[in-house]
Amino acid sequence: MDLLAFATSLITLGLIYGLLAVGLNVQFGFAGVLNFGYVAFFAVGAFTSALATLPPPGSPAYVEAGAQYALGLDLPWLAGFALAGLAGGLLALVIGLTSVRLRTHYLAVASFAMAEVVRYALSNETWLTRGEFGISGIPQPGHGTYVPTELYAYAYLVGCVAIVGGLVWAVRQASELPFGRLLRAIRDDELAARTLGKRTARTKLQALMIGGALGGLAGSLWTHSLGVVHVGQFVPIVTFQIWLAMLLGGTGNHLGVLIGAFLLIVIREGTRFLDAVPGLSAVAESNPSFVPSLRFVLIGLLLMVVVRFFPHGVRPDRPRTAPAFTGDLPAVAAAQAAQDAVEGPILSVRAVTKRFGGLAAVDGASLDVARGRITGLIGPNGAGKSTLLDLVSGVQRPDAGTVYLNRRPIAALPPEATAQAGLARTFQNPRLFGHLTVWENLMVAGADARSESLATTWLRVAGRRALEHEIAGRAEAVLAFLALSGLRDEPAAHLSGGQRKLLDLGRQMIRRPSLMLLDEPAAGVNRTLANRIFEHIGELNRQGTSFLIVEHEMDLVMRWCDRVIVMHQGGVLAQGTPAEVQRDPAVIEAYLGGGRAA
Amino acid sequence: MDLNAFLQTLVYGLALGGTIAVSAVGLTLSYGVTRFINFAYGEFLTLGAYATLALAGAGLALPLAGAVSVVAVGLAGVAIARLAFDPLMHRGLLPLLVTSVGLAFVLHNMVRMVAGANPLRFPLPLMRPWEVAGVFVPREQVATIAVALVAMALVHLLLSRSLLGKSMRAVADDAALARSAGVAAPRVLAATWFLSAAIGALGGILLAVTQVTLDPAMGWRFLLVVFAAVLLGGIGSPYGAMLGGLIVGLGVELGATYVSADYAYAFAFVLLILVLLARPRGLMGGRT
Repeated sequence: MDLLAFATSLITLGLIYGLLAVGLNVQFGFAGVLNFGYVAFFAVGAFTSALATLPPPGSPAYVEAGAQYALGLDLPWLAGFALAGLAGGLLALVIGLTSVRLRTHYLAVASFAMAEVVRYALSNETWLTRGEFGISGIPQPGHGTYVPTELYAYAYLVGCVAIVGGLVWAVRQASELPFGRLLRAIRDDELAARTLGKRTARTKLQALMIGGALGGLAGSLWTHSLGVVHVGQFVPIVTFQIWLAMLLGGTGNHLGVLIGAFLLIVIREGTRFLDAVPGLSAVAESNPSFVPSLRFVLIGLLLMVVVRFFPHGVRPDRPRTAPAFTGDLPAVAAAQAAQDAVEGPILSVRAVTKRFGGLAAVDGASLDVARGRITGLIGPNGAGKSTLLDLVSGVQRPDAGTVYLNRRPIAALPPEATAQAGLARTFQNPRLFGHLTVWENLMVAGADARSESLATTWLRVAGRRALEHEIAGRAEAVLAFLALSGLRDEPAAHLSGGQRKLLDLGRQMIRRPSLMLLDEPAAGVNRTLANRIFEHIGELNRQGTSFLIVEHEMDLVMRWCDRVIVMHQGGVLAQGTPAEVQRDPAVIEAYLGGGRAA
Repeated sequence: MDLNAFLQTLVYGLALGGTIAVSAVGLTLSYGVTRFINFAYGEFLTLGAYATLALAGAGLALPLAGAVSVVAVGLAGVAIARLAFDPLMHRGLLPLLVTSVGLAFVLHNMVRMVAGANPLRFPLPLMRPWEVAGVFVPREQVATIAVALVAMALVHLLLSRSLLGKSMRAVADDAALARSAGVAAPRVLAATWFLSAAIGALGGILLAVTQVTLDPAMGWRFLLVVFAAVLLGGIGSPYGAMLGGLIVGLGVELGATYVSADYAYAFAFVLLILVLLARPRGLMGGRT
């Protein structure tokens, strides 16, 4: 075979698989969606583009080719290409809308099954796809008109370089901006992202659709390069070859994944020379499926070896370095909280109940949190304090009762909506985005829906820079306030317990909420740092933020809280100033009684 | 509607359902202990069928060949799991899933390298079907149903009566707690893999009998049907898997007869997707 022609076809194939791998990487490497049916987008794109560009049945070209397909729209190639992307994106939308709730292996199985359903449909609807026979004579853009046949493969390669290069550049762009940062945050901890006010379902759906559209576009590039399309090209192993390319290159890194695709193609096409191995050809003669099967065995083995011994790929995804910030630091505090015109308690909980099986974790609890104050929430273990925070912040829905934030009912709202209403909460074990750096954790928290939108990402370049600068300013101010500047490029997973607590607090601060619910902000932290955390809380409170704090350390509660609410067995036992509560006989009984029972 | 044709379909549906039910039990048992869906499970079916064929070809009587194969594939399952899965047990879900997919391709293509891609069949004598009240009942299908029932009864006894079964359920419920109560997790794990692979092999033999032919991709193709049954019954629940298998088998045969033969298995996949969406924990699942 002509070496140059062989190399040309390899590079073209590598680019097309690179586009597929980048699409899968958007879905899995960024959004964390375990898609085991990625080949479906490739298939749908290929057929869409083919049927859109074929000459219509009955036309002279159709008759001359002796063709038998039933649909040909005779559209220009570019229209077919665009429609292929649209088809892939729409299929992703369908999959996303139906199964975005599913997690991990359920999603893997469901997407695998969906791809098989698509393949069944393509092979059984023979009137449209000609089933196993497939369709040949798919138009090749410019073939014989602008480009002579003998140069066509080279021209096609140049076109692929331009198209794939442009698409990968655009995707990489989006991935490094707030949109991609949010996706990586969701992959690390979706619930945490939601409690920061992120509409994660929508963002994941967008990522799924971008990935689906890229798969469809790759299908178009592929089918026009071959000139034939048939359903046998879209078997499940194609999905896993794309997975192999992604894992080999480095999940999460688009350029690495592109390299991975080239490695895959070189290895895969290299195995075509297995026949040349002495001895194999003799075996192959008696069993014609010997060598093709051996190739699949090698691909399967490679998949296993890469996952086990080489899980980060040739170009691992590395922690990002934050750009240096220049400009004036804005104020840290909750400017908007001071402007709240509403009077009365900032948070009112009325007769809220939550049962787990037969046990009522929260049983008809009612309480008010005073505006502009620090309120402590104490009680023995199992009193229902953390569950109450879950119910208020929308992490769990109460079985009965109502919750008002600034007189607005929020009990039925999901966490992202309560967060947008001005509520912030931390968890007993900080739920940080472990793979993101300290700076990125803050940037995700500080970004609003506008800066994370795809329109901002790709179209409003000037507006995007201004937004990013504004958020970076707040992040810098928070870093300075919490004295975390030295750790800005450290992945959150590497932080110590106390640093995690601080970053969790900072991630809520940067959003400037009017009410913060903190679940044991100083637990497991040394004395000095605990005092420092409470000094930060006090400072924020002076600037207008209200607090509800679950805390076990009584001297901290006594020192910092204006009011204290005591919970016991799911209900509110007492409330008042720290001194009043401390004298309350019922409270003493609850604590000591609980102590004796334990 | 032709009643005889319906009853005929029912017999085939029960045989297929029994086959799926047995296969589903093997998959769900390993899930209960290892907590990942083994995409290489279908290969235990393929290996079981081909091992039986090879032993029968070497002169063993078919039932004996089947029994030996079931044990052999069970042992192979333990070895495969130790080599491929055990080192990844603490690395999260994705490495295990991807490894099981890679393993599936390795195994069924190795079968194809050795046995060729052409469909083969067991050396079963041609048997005249029984005629019961105008309905032709093929003896192979009846034998399949009988073997499936016996196998499920044995699994039930094993799980409910034996110490091993109790240990398996304990590990499935809470691995850490079971370990602290003195259950030897590695041994339970090995026993689970043995059972999973052995039951899978039996499922493969039954599949080769009900579907008349066997080919290297039979287990891989059948995998989604087994998934459908497992998820329908609630993943990790052996009794749910039995019920799910019967429902899927009957559904596939009835769908093939009365709706569209081309889409028979696609129905199972659509059913699978619908179950996942409506009741992610399956019809009988309730435990989180």
